[in-house]
Amino acid sequence: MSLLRSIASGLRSLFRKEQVSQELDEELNGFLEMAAEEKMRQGMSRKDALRAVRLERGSLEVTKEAVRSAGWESLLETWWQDVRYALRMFRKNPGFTAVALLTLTLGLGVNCAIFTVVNAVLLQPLPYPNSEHLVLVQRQFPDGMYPATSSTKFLFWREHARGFEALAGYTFASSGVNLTGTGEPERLHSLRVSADFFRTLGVHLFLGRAFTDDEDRPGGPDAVVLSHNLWQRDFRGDSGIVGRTIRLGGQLCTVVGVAPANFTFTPAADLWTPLRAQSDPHDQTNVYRVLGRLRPEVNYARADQYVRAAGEEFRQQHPDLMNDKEAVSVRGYQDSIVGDVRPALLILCGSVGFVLLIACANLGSLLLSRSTVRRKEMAVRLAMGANRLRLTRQLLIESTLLGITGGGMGLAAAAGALPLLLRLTPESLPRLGEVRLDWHVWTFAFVAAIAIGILFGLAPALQGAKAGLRDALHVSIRGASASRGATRLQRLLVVGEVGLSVVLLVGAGLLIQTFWRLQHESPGFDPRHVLTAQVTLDNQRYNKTAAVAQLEDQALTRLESLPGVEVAATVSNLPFDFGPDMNFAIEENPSGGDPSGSTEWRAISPHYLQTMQIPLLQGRNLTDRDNASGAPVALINQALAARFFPGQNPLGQHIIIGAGAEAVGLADRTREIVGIVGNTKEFGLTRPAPETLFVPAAQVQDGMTAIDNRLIPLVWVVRTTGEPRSLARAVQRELLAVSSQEAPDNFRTMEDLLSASIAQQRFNMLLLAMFAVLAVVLGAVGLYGVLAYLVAQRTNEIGIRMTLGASRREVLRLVVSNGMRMTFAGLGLGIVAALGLTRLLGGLLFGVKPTDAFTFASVAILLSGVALLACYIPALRATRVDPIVALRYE
Amino acid sequence: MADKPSDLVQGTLDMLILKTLALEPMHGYGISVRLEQMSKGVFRLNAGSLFVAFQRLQRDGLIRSEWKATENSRRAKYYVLTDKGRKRLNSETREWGRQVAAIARILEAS
Repeated sequence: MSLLRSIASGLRSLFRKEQVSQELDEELNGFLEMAAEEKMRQGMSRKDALRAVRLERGSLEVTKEAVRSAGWESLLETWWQDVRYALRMFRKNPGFTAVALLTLTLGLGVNCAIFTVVNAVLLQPLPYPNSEHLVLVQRQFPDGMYPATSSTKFLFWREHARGFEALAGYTFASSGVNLTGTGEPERLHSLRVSADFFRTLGVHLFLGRAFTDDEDRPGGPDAVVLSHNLWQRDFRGDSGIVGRTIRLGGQLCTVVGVAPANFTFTPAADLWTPLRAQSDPHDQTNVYRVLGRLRPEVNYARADQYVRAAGEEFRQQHPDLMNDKEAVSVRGYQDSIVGDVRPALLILCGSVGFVLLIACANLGSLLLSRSTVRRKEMAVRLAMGANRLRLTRQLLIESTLLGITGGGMGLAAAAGALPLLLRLTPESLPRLGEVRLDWHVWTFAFVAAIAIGILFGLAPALQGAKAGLRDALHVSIRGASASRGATRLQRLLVVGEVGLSVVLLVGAGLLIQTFWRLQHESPGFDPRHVLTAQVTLDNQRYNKTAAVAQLEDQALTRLESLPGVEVAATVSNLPFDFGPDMNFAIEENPSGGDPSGSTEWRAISPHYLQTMQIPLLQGRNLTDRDNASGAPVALINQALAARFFPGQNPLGQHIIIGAGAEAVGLADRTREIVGIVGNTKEFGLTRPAPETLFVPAAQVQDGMTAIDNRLIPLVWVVRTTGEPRSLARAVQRELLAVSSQEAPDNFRTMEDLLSASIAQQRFNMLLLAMFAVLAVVLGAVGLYGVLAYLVAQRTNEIGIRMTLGASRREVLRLVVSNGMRMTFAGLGLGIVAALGLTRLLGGLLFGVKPTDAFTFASVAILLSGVALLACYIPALRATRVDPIVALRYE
Repeated sequence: MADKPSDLVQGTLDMLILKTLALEPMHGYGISVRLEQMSKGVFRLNAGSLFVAFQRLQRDGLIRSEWKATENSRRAKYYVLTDKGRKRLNSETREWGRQVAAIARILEAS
């Protein structure tokens, strides 16, 4: 209650200042008059009486001030005064203000931008209700987690695992679908999902409903859910779409629903069709992912026990379908999506934090310089009766104001830089669409700005207000050097800045080398002049290899007769893309071969090697005679030959691919190895080339062709004589001429694909390099600032030295060595820190060790050079000191 | 010691003002005169401390003020003890008595 009264009274004083002040005046005047009257009654003159009262009772003005400043509202008033005073100081020192604000803007700007990305990708929950309850149920092996599983296991888990509100399955890979009947065929991304997929995610459809169990049953009615985007684009947002049929891959499907506009899921899709998982002990293709929503009371550890138990039950019922080392486990869904990019993003976060620290050190150093310059001002203010607390507060308010302004400008800079940053970001970075400058970023910027203002204003503020009165006035009159404490702190800050710059430069240097090496790493093929396109063969008739082979023959003949085309081919999937892997047995060596099924498998048309320029090392290439009627053959790559045929000649030996999968039509005929080809880096440049088998597409078993068509699009590769992209239209026309219902799509050059495969490394390198440059510039500015300031401080001393006969060279050396001492101390510190920290980069590097001596040496040389330059300018100024002027200097 | 009001034991000024107002509402000057008289000239109060104390007591709700005419028909702000103020005065007086007695005992013992 009394607090309320105090607030009310305080507010009254603030907002009705005039009236309150008048009342106080009147009351005090009355007091004075009454006291004076008393004295006058004792015989004093009025004048004497008034004087006596003032002497006895104190001055009325002081009393008024005392009453006013006793209330809390006066605190606000003095704050406001301090703020205005600070703004005046900034206006009067535009150079200082500009440098401080620029430093802060750069430091906070890059931090806000990176934080925006990190916040959206790592920190924010996924855009589903209670997304923390979502988990992936996965197969676990001693060497790691395998997210894909078979339909049999998925259905068993769904039936037996406890602790879930819902458990949905979806295919991770899909070749897509062709939407026809609305003009030109259009290839769309599709995803097969189980009936409770949307319910598991907690998503309500925008229109219509999700799939029914009947639709999700094998042989059930065909149904499709459209994405909001597709519905808007192809059906003009027609609200009567639900219940209508559209033609997908030649089949009529009923549209049952439309997803909400903001719905996103990885992998992205234009439409969803029923999963129709079927328990089949013979089908062990692992193409399903299992997403579960835990009951609210079940935590991850408990859920893990539940699915593990379900896995053991499965083992008891189907001992032949589960590996000895296999178990079942859960992983947080968010973690499964962003886990892979977390290390890189955290490293970027750390580096950008270093940039901020450097910026802060600069600011602190600048403020220290100013506080020394302002000692006289502070001394005078102290002498005039200001108290130290007020002075400290004044200085803190100045630095906080700087911080907040810099924070605002940094935020604006981040908003401006964000589109650029997003353009640099690799498309593979998950959740990119969710990146935006929201209130989290605002809070981050605000808190960082205030913290910096206070933290880095504190030392100078204490320093400034500490100024001994006599000393300060004395010193400033003599114009001698700054206080020792301030100078030492400044030097420490510069050493720290240099050290942090070293760490960033080393990191950037290592990533630049990584990228350089990746760019010069041969992928095993020649990516120049190669155009690629994809097509989805989702029509039923392509479930037979013969139909596919016929299509390929016709199309390739037409493509190869196009002017500008050297040679053309098909492949089941390109390097860097998801592709099937298979097991195989060796007829001549029953204990050999690869029973684990981790050998990459590619179906190619005869001209694939020429098109990609993959070298044939031994034996023969495929020919047109390696077709359905020819003897079954295969090519193997060097890695496969080395691993499975050590010290033997593989040529002429026979292999059986997919041995043991006869029941599902995946087991192959016995093939003769006719050629050995060079390795290709199928998994990307950073990973070794896997063992790979190439078989003629025309000789693939029907069952394999059907699975392939469902999971991966067929790829056309065309080697051109000129710019590959210019042929895209012509290639598209020829392909449509052969199959009018399958839309060729995704025209990309092999060089683009290669470049996209190292986009993450490019992103890491570019950002870290940018931060390092920023760090060096800020560090150099810091070094320059401190030296320039020291030179200005020592003008007098330098003047004396020169009068006593010091040469310009000696003065130059004096200043430069002063700066270089700080630089070398920073270099030493930084190198030690970098040796410890670059280890964290290990996973991001390729072909270079985290302790690469060349990088460390280059950084040391580069930084010393920059530092020398930063020292040289103030040193040069010192040599221009005119002794006469210097000695008279104040 | 006696002629330096700032040496007044910390916190006692508030209690003395409340005591003065316990008799009747009074204006600032009246309070200061009464305090001097009652203390036989020991406490001569600086206007600054006095008026800061008024503001503080008012904000704490122990006294309230109203403008009235004095006997010399001058307009003055009169301070009035509130119920809360009266309770506070009683409790502080008791506490003060206890403390003084205790201090006296200690001083006599030595």
